[in-house]
Amino acid sequence: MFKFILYRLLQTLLVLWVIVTVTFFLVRLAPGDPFSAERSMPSHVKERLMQHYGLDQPAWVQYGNYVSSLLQGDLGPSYTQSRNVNQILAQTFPVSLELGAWALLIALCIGLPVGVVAAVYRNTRLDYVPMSMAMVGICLPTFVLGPLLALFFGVWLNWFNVSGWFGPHDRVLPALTIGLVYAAVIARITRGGMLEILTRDFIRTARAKGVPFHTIIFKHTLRGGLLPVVSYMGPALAGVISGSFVVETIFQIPGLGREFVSSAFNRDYTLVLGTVIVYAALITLANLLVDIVQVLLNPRIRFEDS
Amino acid sequence: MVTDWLSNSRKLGKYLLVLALASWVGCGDRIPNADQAVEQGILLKGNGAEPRTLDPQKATGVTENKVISALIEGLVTYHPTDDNEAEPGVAESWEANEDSSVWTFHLRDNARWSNGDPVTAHDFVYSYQRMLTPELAAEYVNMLFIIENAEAFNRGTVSDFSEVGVEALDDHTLRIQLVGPTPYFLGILQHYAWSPVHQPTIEAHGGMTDQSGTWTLPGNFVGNGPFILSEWRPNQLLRVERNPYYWDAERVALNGIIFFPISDDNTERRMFDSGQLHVTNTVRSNDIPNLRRTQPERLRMDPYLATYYYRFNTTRPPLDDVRVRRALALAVNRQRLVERVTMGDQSPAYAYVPPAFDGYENQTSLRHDPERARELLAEAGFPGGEGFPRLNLLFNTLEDHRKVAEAIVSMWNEELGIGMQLENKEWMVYLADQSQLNFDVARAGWVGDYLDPMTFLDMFVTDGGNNNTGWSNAEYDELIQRAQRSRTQEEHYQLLMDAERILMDEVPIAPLYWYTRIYLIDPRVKGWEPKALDNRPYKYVSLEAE
Repeated sequence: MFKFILYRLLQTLLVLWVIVTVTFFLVRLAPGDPFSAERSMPSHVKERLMQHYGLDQPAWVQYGNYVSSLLQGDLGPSYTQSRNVNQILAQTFPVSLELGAWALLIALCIGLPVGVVAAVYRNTRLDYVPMSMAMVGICLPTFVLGPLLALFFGVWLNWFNVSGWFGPHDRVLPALTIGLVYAAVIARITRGGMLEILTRDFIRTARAKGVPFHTIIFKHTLRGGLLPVVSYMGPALAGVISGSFVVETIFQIPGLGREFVSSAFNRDYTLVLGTVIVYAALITLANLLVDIVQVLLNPRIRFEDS
Repeated sequence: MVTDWLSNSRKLGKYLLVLALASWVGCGDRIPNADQAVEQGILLKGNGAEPRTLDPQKATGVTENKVISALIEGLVTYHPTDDNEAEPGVAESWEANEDSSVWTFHLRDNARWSNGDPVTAHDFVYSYQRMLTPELAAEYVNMLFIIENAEAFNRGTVSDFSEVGVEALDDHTLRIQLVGPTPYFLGILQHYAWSPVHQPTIEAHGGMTDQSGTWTLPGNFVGNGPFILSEWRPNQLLRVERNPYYWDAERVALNGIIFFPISDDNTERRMFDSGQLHVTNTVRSNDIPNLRRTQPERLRMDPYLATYYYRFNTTRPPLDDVRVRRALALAVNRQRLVERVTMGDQSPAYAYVPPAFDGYENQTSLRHDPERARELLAEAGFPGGEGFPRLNLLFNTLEDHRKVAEAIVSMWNEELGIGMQLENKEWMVYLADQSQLNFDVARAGWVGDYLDPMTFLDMFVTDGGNNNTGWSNAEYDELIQRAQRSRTQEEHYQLLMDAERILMDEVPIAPLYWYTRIYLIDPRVKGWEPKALDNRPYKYVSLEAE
């Protein structure tokens, strides 16, 4: 198992290096530069600025400098903020992570029970009604759901602030916005996974043997039925965190998603790279984690070396 | 296994709850809502984008200036009501020599930095030296090029700063020698590029030319304005509190201001509606008709020193023909544009300089005249639009610009029989295309930097950095140059009026409308007067419960 993990971590490093290299040259290909502005500055001032940040050098020299400072853990200065990239990531990533964790928690707490109930009582109202709602939930994008929740619970009922990230109550609406969409997906996946297991022979055998209903569901069915959900959790975690840009904008949340998008618009090369590195690492690690959990849950899968 | 996993997720939940509580406790002061804030005397203001820096000599934007003007005060500052007047700031009085080329400022002796140090003439000399030092690479440095030898020092041809025309005659007397007569100097001097900075603070945080800006962070920042910086949480809020050392502290009515950087206009509107803001930064144009009906007492639409216009690429046929450009400019019904499309009380612009200056009258030959437009187009060889090539109309991706572009293109189609392709591009690509003259017609907007028509007209001199039309006219260049050195305000305005006439005759640009600043304001905010540059001295603003 450790050999497997080590091997995968090495793979991850290789992937990260490729991503950094491609991103490094791609952002420089985009028109404009970090100091483009509507009101153009005197050309000698711009030359000074480019010189100060080493942007006047050939791209491969810049690349060498960047990689060597990256290896020392220095992601460089931001061209558009008073904080450097390390500080920006350190301040914004925990926010996105927290938001993502709350959202996934909500998604699981709602999605799992709904999916299980729908599967057990399939083709009844307990199946049709929640599954139809889940379909609507999947179709409803966050940029519609978020403002609706803010309008209803914030402006009309005044239960929550419509924006901000100050107290625990400020977590509710944004986490719900992301969480509800994922809850819908999880409910459908859970239902599908459960149904597949419920029709298996060993369940029928267990029933015939008189195993109590709840034991069949919780002990025998859930274990296999949840496998698709587990494999979904990796992409979901990455998706929740990297896709939080819209929700962070709607609710004024100082997270990583906004930095990711605005840095690309501002041609803030170092910040683009910093956020890309974090996201890439996150996605590869989440997938690795899912693979490990898959093995632990499913007796039919083994690590290659064990 | 599953139960293990479930219990783990429960642990995760607990951990998250602790994390949330910790971050909440760590927040310190709670954010008041609009009602509580009125009682506490704290103004809650939406402020657009996140400020990139609070260093007045590195800042380049309107959002930055909204905060900086609360923290730092220049020699003269914004007048609370009259845009053509300069309000005394650190300088209590000043005089100019006969031709307005040498200005002497008398600094008040009770002006203090927020750490208690006195503000002296030497601070201003240091600040201008810092601004002009080539290594600082200040983007707005050319604001100071009207000082004698300033440009030479910044370009490195003069290395001794004592040759630059700034001198502290004593602690409280500052003399500024300009390159020539500049009767409108006080207007320029209100710009934040002329702000003083605190030398010991700058030196303690990386020195004069440090680019990191750490001296501007809370705890480090030392200013001389009515407020001091107390908290800066990026993308969340920026809080300033009353500065006890400010020389006019008694007049300051507010106890503090919280600036909220809000990137989404809809979010800002919801914050205002639910009582989280007193003043918004903007209003979506779609909301204006409804707000006019439902909240007219909160909706403000103030004239703004800014022009919305279209650039023509005069290096490409057929736009290199002045008759074609003129035909396009004459065919636009600007009155209908502002009434039906922009809808925010904007004024139709038949000239370039916004009407904000006493004694300056727009000179223009533009009007709405589709008849003449058709004649001109026919003279240019395109009768009824026949044979007119399909041009592109470039604009940066934004719904409001698209609406204007669609309206204009349909007017051109209706009146002149020509078609045009809309082409929206992302901001940086749009900027690059404009500066490389890679467009036919391009949407543009210009906000004045200071209160003088010069801030609009000097950009169209030959090869000017913001010209971006390929247009060049020797007579225009000469008029601008003479206007920069005219001895009296009347002469200055007359020369600029002559220059504007040439610009409007040659139409390298077609002005469309003059902007308004559109925002929502809580009626409990007092002393918030319309200002041409939307700059107001916060010390005159107050909050009164009704």
